[in-house]
Amino acid sequence: MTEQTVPQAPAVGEVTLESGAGGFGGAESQAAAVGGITRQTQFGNIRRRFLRNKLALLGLVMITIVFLTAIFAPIIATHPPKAQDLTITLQSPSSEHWLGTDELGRDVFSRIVYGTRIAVSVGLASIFLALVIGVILGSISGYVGKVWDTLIMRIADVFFAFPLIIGAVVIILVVGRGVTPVILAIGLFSWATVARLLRSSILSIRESEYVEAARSLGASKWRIVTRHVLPNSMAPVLVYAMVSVATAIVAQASLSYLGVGVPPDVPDWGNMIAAGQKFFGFKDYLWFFPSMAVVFTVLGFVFVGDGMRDALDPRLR
Amino acid sequence: MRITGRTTRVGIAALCLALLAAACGGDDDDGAGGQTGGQQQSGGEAKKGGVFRIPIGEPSAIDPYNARESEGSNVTVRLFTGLVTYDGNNELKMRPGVAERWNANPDCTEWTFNLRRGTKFHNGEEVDANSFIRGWTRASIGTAASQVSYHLAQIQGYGPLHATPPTAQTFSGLSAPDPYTLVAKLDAGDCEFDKQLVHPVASPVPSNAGDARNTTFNEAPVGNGPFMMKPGTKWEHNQRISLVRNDNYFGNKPNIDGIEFVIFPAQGRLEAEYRAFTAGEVDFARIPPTLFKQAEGTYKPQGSFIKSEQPGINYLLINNAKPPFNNVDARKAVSMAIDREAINQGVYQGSLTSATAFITPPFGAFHQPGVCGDWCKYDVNKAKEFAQRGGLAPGTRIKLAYNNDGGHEPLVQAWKEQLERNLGLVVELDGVPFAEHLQKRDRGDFDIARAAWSTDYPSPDGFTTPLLSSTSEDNDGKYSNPEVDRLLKLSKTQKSDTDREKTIEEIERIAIGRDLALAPTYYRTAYRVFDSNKWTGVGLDFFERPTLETASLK
Amino acid sequence: MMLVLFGASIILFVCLFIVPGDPIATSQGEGRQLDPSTRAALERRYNLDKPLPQQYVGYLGRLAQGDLGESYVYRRSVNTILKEKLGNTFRLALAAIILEIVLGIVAGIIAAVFRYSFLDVLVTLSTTFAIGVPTLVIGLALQNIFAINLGWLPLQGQSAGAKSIILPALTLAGVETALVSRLMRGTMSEVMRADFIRTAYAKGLSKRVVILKHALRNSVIPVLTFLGISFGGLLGGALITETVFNWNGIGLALVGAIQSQDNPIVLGVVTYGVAVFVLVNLVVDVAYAFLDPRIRLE
Repeated sequence: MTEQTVPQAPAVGEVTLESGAGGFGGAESQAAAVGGITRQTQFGNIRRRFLRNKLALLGLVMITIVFLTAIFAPIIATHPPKAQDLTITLQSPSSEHWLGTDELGRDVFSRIVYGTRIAVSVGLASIFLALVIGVILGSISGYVGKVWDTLIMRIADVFFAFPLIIGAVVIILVVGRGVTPVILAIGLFSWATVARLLRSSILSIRESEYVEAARSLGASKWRIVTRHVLPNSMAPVLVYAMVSVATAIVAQASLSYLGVGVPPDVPDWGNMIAAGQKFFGFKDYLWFFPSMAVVFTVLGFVFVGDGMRDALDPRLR
Repeated sequence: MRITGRTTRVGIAALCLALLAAACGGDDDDGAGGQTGGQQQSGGEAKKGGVFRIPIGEPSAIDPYNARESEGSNVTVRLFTGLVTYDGNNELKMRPGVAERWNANPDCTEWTFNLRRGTKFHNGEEVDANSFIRGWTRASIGTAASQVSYHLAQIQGYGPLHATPPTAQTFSGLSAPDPYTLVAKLDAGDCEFDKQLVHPVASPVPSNAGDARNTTFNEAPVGNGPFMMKPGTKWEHNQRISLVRNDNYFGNKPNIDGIEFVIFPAQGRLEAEYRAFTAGEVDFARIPPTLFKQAEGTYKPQGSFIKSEQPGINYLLINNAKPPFNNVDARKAVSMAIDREAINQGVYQGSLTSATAFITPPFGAFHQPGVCGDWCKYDVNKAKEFAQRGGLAPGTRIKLAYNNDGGHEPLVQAWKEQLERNLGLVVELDGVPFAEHLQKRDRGDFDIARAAWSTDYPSPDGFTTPLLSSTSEDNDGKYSNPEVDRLLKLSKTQKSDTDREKTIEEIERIAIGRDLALAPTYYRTAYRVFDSNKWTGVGLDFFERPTLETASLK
Repeated sequence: MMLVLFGASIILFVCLFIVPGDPIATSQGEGRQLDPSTRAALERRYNLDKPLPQQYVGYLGRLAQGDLGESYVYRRSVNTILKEKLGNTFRLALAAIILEIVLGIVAGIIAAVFRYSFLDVLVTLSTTFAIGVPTLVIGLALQNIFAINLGWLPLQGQSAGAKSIILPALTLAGVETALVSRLMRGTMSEVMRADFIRTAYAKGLSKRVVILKHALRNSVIPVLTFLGISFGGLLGGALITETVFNWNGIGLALVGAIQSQDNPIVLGVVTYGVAVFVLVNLVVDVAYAFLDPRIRLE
């Protein structure tokens, strides 16, 4: 039940963190020990390292393409995505219809173009939701600790134990189909990892030398949290978020494939793959192109996420 | 000797049949149903042998007490033979099963069945009137919670027996004056009661059947039919059910040695069946609608393609109870605004037959082509005109409900697009899984809905009463017309087929032709493929089941 | 851990019974309405006529005895139904995990040992790519290539014996194999640069011994942890893979049960899946503590 996600790269990071073998917390705190000035230069270092990474750059380009397509969909698409024409159903790609037509005579290319909107909005919104919940709860858990920590972590465990797809299906069963339930569902089953990650990160930073230094210098708790602890511990969370968008997009497509995603006339890659699967073997373009769209988008986010992680932790290179 | 050329085969088969019919003169039915497909060779010449492999989905039950969907019934009817059978004749007349003769009293409130002597269950026990009483009681008693025993609800005493908890342990209306006579008294006269008994729930059961929760019997029913469970086997869930020929069968013994039901998972089952067929793993298969054209092209030339008109009807269910469709003109507008043929060609590759009537062609004399009149023809201008007359203004929001697990997306999306384009309506698609969809319909939570209906027994009453009677629970459209109600009641008491025919025709003219209570869209046509290189005599019967009793190796 | 299970089961139970819709009417499945008496009989049978909290308590009580209830549609014990399908899921999970181990670890080792070589680049690029392709697409693509175009392997189902499991296992393992390989490469690279390895070389041990005996043993722990957790998840049933390949496991049963509102099966499969996952996590935690000397010292 756990398959089909883009399993969190932080599964790696998490293990390393837990075992205290270093990873983000270690490198970060050491590098930041000297304080604010070093942090700025360090950011520059990170950025430079990222941009030098060819794959990461490629990923950035890919994501940009997807975003632009989503924004400028009406201009890029050649036909209205919902326009049916029952006289030209199931036609192979042609000059008139670049990627062919589906079983209702709708233009596949245009539907894929508009599909970016759903993918991007669902992907971003659901992860945003997960981030909001996860960061808030994770910070409380990590910084305030004690009872809150235990409580929040137990709740997180419950959500964690539900594989994403199963949990999402259950939510959708209750709330109904549509874009919002999908966002809600994916967000609800992703926040747990964010919280856990952030908590681990905070825990290791909290005790680091420079925080102690700041505290001894008389900085208020609030200032410590917002200026020192949070920014430094967000790194793994951001990497996870990047990859999570990819996971969310895949999850959303999979939910549509299983029949519990967005309504069927909405141009969505998952719906298109599900519908196209019926024509397996003789009209393969129907499921192939939407699949490629998913892969393209996901890879973009994965490359960027990888690049971010590599840039942030030089020890892995 | 291989006979090439389908036409030649048809000719020879027809000749043989004619000769045989002349020679034997109206014997027990051969169970030859349906149309086209492999033509039947005359009984005497058929080769014996072979095991026919047929794919099904996992049944919910094969025990006759609750066999309720086509998968389960497909198995049950091979294992059990009831009082009567049906061979697909145009007069909708029942043929003898275990009952040799039967008749009803003048007002059809009492039926008497005379059983054949000496017929046996697979375990050797004799089948008598009590076997039937036992089976019917077992299925109808409240604790069994059978979802199909309603077919026996007309018999006196059903109510107390079926209650939860039961207040009676037997049917007061059933009796066996002697072992081979069964008398059934009904609460109200029904001149088509014998037709109801063709359903598997009316099967006889042996004395060791126990009650409905006897899992041994659930998994390996012991019946009296042309086939029996392969000795030593039982229902292997999600895998297979194996049957072998019953050599002591009282009727026409099957030619094949046995049947292997290969069970496929529900998800993508149609595609899986069809692929299994193309790979030679099964001898028969349903065809996914989207692969229809391809299948036809490949298999029709070989004679492996079956096209059979079935009794079912697909229709647009319309909510007569609330605006905007409580107005007849609005209903007609919608029906004329959808282009049945364009959808048929574009989405279904021409595999459907657009409906012009509610009671379908397999009902022979009862079918009135064109009774739907103009309302089933695509006419945008007329649609607009009627829409205006009926108060169906552009911009009206309506809900189109359908079940999202039946592959109907292309259909409803096409309807939505056409209604929006032609009438300016705003159509909201509401697709949920089948059961939930039915509940929505029941609550009236829809304006129009995609629907289909079929019947368990060969009478148009299986359509008219459930869908047009104001007291029927299945009448989700809530059509209510006292005149129609009166005629429906009348038809049940008319013993003469001609009289009944006139009544039913009148009902259809009023309910559909005049009131358009619902909008028929397509007749149900069933398509199958079978391995005609290996088998012959394979067609579809009235109940859309393969005619395995007449199939044989080539 | 019990708390997690408890919490999960409450959520699930409540969700299922909030769901609009009527599971009893659903099991009718025919288009006809259920008569009141049959409905009453079924409600009584499945305790649906009792108030929700009481139902939940009853459910918990049966659960404690390992009884997952009875399916609404098939009227058979959920335990029996699931047991029949568990074998298939288990076989698939096993095949997938073997693939992950063999392919993933080997690829990771190669990439680490031959760092920056062509092989390394090949492995790294292909694994990065593989992560990005959703399981759904992998499944469809494999089907298309091997079953339809080449016809080497069956399209779906389990009937072709050993051949049937190849494509589903590859699909299921796909993404995680890539992850395993990357993880392996990562940890092994790190270990290979450690002092104690240099010492081993200095001592004159052959490269082979160094890698297999010292480097591997130290770097494989996080990978095994990951694999353990992965296996726990796989045992819970692979929804997408089983759907694409019509593989008759509990994942497919879940999808079908959701469609037909067969709540006992939905509850049963998810409860089982969560339980297995939690259990395996526990085992992994314990094993990890055991294997990693650093933890042990705490």
